[in-house]
Amino acid sequence: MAKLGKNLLYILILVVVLLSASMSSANAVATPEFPACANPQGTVISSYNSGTHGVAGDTTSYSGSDTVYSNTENTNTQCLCQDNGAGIQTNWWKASGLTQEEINTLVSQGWIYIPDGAAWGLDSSPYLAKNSSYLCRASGGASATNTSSGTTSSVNTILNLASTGNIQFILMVFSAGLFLIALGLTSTLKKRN
Amino acid sequence: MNFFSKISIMLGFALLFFGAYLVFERYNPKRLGFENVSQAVISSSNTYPKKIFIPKLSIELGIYPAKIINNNWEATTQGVSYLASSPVPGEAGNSILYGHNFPNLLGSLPKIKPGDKIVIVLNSGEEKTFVVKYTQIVTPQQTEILKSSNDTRITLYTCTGFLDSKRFVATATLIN
Repeated sequence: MAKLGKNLLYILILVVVLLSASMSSANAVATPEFPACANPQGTVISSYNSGTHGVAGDTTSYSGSDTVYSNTENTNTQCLCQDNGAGIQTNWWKASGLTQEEINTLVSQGWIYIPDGAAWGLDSSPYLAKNSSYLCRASGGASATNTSSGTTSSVNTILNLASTGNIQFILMVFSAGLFLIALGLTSTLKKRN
Repeated sequence: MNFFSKISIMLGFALLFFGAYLVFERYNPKRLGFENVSQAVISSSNTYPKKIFIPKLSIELGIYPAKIINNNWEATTQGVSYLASSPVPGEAGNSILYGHNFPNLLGSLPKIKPGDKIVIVLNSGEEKTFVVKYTQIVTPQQTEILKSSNDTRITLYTCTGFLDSKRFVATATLIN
């Protein structure tokens, strides 16, 4: 009985550690918060209703509207809304105040190092950039194509497997837990007999 | 107790703890909120939103006023919550509406697309129609999404992502 209690304690500790690890970000460097393109903030520093635009870390040219906002002295947000309704948000973070080690850590976390922001219409200083997607209503009224939204929704479907709104999933977790405990106890009793 | 039994029992208890955590989170008052949002003065207007329709998703739900108390966001399980400190939908500014991602509430909201319509019915019977302009997944720290705007918009959101760690936001602007 004491052994079972000890095992239960180990499980509890394991679950707590796993949950904390999944919820806390492993950022060694504190990254600034960027407003979302769905409600951008700050001052507009450049805006184009149409044309061809580039995205940091991507050699593709994108056609649509493009607006860049200055959020703080060190951060900018670029909101690119393609003609097909697929949007790309690029968060720009001036890297001049960061050490090389911090930059390396951030690059390993998906940030893209841009040696000179002047090439992107920003200050002549190194920047870190990070892209994310959103959907927008293009100026012509077009909505996102099925292709782009399909990718987003399949990713969402996988992530939402552990959504707390899904009561079937929660019941399945409980059922699987009870089944495994019953299986383990049955197997032990059989062996004893 | 053999190795197989030990593993089965340990895994079984781990799943029970995980299930209990999901149930706790399902009703956690902080779950639907954004972090460190201060509440403005609640409007004394006699007009308030009563119902929400999203024809594309076959959503038809009641709207209930809600407040933020000590960073806990009041949330109903009967419909959609309306942050009473934000403007009444149809008034200039950013009206905030949110709901659980339960299948009978806003579980299908992530299927909404720019161009889809959202209709809000006020207690006066007046209908306000909004068209979705943006959809985006944000973190609870991206509180700028709730900030006031110069246009007349609603920001409708629900939880999404692994363990509901993110928010799926649909921003819609008034068309009538």
